[in-house]
Amino acid sequence: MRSTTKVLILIVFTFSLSTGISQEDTTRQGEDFQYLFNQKKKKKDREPKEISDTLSLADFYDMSLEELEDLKATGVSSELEKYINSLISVSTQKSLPSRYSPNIVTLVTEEEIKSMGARDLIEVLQLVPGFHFAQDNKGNVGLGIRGNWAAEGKVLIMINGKEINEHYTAHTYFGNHFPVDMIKRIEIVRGPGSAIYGGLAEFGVINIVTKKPNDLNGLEFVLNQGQMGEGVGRGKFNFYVGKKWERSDLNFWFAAGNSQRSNRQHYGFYDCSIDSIICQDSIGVGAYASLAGESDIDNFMSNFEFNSGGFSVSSLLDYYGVTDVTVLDSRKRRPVKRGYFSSYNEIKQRFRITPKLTITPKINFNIQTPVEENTPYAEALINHPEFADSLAIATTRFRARVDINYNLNHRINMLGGFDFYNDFALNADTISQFYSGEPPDQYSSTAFYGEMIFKLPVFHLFAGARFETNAAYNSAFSPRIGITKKFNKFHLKFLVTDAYRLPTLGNIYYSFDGTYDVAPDSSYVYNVGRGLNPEKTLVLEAEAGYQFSEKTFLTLNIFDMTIRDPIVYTFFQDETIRDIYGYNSGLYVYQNFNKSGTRGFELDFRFQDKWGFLNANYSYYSVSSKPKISAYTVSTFNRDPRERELVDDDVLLAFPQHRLNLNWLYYITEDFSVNLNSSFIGSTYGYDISIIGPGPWDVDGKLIKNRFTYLVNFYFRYQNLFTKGLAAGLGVNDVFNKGTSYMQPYFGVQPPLPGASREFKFIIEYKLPFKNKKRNN
Amino acid sequence: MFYTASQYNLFVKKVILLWIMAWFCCNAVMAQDVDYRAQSLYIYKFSKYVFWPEETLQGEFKIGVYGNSPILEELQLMASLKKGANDLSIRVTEITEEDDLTDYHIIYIPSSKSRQIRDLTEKVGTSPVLLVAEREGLATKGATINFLITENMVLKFEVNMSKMADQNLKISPELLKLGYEI
Repeated sequence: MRSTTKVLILIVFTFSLSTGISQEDTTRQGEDFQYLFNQKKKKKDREPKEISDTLSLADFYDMSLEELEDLKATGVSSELEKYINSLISVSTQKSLPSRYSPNIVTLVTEEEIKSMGARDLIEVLQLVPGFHFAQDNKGNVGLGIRGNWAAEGKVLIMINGKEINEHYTAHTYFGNHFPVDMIKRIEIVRGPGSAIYGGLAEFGVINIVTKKPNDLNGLEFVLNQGQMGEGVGRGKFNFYVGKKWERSDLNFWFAAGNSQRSNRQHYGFYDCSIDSIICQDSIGVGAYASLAGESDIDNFMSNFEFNSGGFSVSSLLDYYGVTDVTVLDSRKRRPVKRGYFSSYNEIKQRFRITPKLTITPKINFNIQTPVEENTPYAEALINHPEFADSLAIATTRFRARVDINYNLNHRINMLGGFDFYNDFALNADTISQFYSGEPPDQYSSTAFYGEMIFKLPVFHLFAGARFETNAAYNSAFSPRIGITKKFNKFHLKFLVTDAYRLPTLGNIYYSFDGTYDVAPDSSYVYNVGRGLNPEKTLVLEAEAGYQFSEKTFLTLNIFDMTIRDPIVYTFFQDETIRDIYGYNSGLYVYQNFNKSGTRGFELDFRFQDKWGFLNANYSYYSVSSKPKISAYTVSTFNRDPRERELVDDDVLLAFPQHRLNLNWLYYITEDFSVNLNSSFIGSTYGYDISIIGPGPWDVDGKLIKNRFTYLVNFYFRYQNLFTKGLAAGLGVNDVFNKGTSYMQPYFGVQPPLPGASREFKFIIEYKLPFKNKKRNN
Repeated sequence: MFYTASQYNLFVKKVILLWIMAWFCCNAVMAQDVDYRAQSLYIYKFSKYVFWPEETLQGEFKIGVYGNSPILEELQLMASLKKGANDLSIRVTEITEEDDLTDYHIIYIPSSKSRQIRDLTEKVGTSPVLLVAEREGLATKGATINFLITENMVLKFEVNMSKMADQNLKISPELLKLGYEI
């Protein structure tokens, strides 16, 4: 009997193994259409004739002969090969395998996002080599790349190819902002993209691609909940509907919810402008108070998109409101919220003039307006509706762009086009505190770009440039040369780019050239001199990658960035301003500094198999041999830059010199997975407050060092739970409750901003595909 | 439930047989799981890097699939996107009994029709028709080009150079570097 039982078990095991393998293949293939070397699908399943906009089937057939060397025959490319050979278009606007693209790139897949139970895009992006988040003013969080603060318009953020950086100052903030549950993949350039994309792509490009009807022809609902020790961490609801017809498709999604930045204690400054009691009674500078329930981040984002043939129309709405955790009322509450509402609209038509020539004109019209709660500005709007016309603040951007793609022959591709935009700011000067005179309320910018791709037998050569001119500042020019080469399992890249960052309307308005006049009675300053030049960055990069086996891949890249005329948001103060406005007063302004930069390397290891994957990456940067500017250096606290003493000449404020990320996914069964991801973060420097007296202005700062810390998160996910399409997951973020903080990456008096503490999360997803109509014949 | 020794032996034999069948079934499924998009990519490259006599490149570039094969759909999809030699529009059809095979520029012979390679070769004769097959050994039996799968599952091809010359076709050295001459 025992033997019989063993034999029966053997049979069951054998059959389950064989069916398990085939089932797993089919399931996982469904997400892999974009992979170049793996197009296995059963005939009846082959619906996606048209690949999403960045992954064109025509490009697949345009592959050079050299790229066919490793073309898989049977659709059984290893999981890793699917990943490393995936087509990426964000680098050149032409789909190329990532190992050939002229940038250092990272692709984040839907599988990675779903399996880690991401609550927020921060969780996803902080696992990207060289990425680290830091604190900007008013409780906002932005991105730094390779040790450089990038949130001030130096990293281009796109959703489905649409630029969504804020117009006025080009900031993009993170934290409950982007709908992680609606993302299909994220294409990331960890280096400059100005030669193609222009002024906001100086340090990097992030293109978030959301689900399309090719991915899901049906409905999807996702509920994402989090619970911190004290109070709700977050709650977000996502809805998607996509419908596909023979030649057209339509999709709509929205994500809405609220989250808390943290539940920890944070120092806030009493603000007289929001609570008159503070003006009457001196209660000190500020106080520590909990952020639980007092650090709301609200977001609503929706997207509508219709495609028919080469025509596309889309509209994206984004409301983002962040509690200003830096200010308190007399009850130690944080009533102020700031944010903006944006509408991004686009019409695009792709004309296939000849099989070799494609022209794609597109028009964008965006409008943004700040949204404030419990500020003097908000009160004025409420109490004086008759002045609404003169108080309403809005910025608009009209953009017309034409992209031309010409395939001269199988070896030479030519890309080019022009890009025009006009920015207009309505009543933006009403938020001015110091300035007088006529600020620029609009400007136009015109750019031309072009790139040649030579797929030579010995290597791929990329040579391109973008020239941009604007009446408000000097013109800018960004050339790029890249050489990429793949020999069997090995690849090499050598890249040189001179990127730029253009000043925005807000940058110019708040710019400061160091000159001003003082009123005769010495009661105020006026005629504050404005002026900014484009910031430029010379970036040298090299990458070597080797595929050790079907499952193992390692890349190493080194970089050297030298930033000329960096545009820095900084606190300016001198004796005159102190005398007039007080000891702690000064101007927060944008200025061109001299030179800055970092150099370092990033190591990225991937082991991927049918059971899941193990990714590990390590990032390092140094500034010891690079020029430095006082606003970013690790120095003692002193409002006068000349009096600061350098404490560490090898690192910059807020960004750790060392960072190691691990991300491990294991499929316990075909449907049940566990993810464990962790970040080991080296020491970071920043400033904290130092109270020097009981008075309302008796505050100073001090340099602090946050020692090495780590974050560990895990998440269990079960797909096809009870019924096909239903998935649920449970997990914990920051298991050891280390409570990381965001430092401010430039000189200022902002204590570290606490991040979320340990949080239990629960996500439930349900996909409901539309049924295909049965054919009568 | 009890078995006699003979019943038990029989049972064990059945189980072993089932095990072997399951194993082969599993492997067979994988082996048959050919990526026809990859083959269609190569066939598109053949249209660009194999040279036909100029007089044959008139009207349309014709690709015929002999018999029923999933590659037909792939090739039709490719034809809707790309042009063939001399920028001719590509037309992909399933070959019928009545068709004149010499009208085609490329004829694809699925593995299920491999036995008919000799008939096809005779019908085509020395006309400039590229016969593309997908079963091992067919390049020596009449196919001009035959797809191969290497040990690491990479798609390659072998080229019968004498057959190529007989049919008045030429192949570019760049393309030939990816395959094997026989």
